[in-house]
Amino acid sequence: MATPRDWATGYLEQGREDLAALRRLDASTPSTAAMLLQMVFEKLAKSAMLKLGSPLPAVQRSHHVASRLVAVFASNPILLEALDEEDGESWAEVLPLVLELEAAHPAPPVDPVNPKKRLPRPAGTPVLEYPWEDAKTGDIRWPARDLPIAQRFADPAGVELARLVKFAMSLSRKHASLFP
Amino acid sequence: MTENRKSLEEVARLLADSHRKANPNTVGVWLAPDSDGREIRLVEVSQTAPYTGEVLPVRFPPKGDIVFPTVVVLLNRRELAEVDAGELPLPDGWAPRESWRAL
Repeated sequence: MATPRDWATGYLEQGREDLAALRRLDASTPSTAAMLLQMVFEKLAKSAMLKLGSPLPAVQRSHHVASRLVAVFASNPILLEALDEEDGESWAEVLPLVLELEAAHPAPPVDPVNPKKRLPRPAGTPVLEYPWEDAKTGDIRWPARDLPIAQRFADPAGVELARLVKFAMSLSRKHASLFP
Repeated sequence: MTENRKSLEEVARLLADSHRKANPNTVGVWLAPDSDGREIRLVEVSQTAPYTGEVLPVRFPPKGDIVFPTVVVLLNRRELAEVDAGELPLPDGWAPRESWRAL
């Protein structure tokens, strides 16, 4: 029977596979880059949470685990120091972007009071991967054209895509030492 | 041809200014020359970029006033030192550090 640690290995390795695909993309497909980044952070976070002892069913069910990992980092200076090595503050810089990607996952968050239910998402909320209906106009919108973070990723004057990819690479590289 | 190269560098300076403004922890931006003069190749070093031991080019198609394709390589200081020491390879076809121009 597979252990949570076995699952943690699976999530980590699949997250690294997603990251490898991301390396071959560019900003000409920004919504796909955003989707892959969300997938990378979700899987790296699931692996970490399992190593830290979170129950497997809860980790498997949720697509909103990256925010829990963020909370772990925020409350653990030793982990933060190990993550940032000599430079520091890299996590603090990209934290809002990781949370923005997570919030755009198409599945609404699990209700923390009743984990078998999901919280309602306001109509017209932009999401990764699928079209949505604009709550005011009724127009159909889709991530490649309308998702705010994807639009910013496509802008060569912006720096968010390069910084997030760099951070994902760093988290993948240090994962085993941060979460043995 | 000369006019084209000048335009590329002007656009590169605009991008460098935007990136510095977006990331105040940027400590250096260089233009790595493209021998064909077709794309902007920026090497940027940030105090807060994490170490990855890799050089990953992030590519952008032209958009708006940025009329050239752009490639950005984000490094931290340790990685730049490794590039200088020849320990970390640049993307294929990229000119060596000696020919970079600070922006």
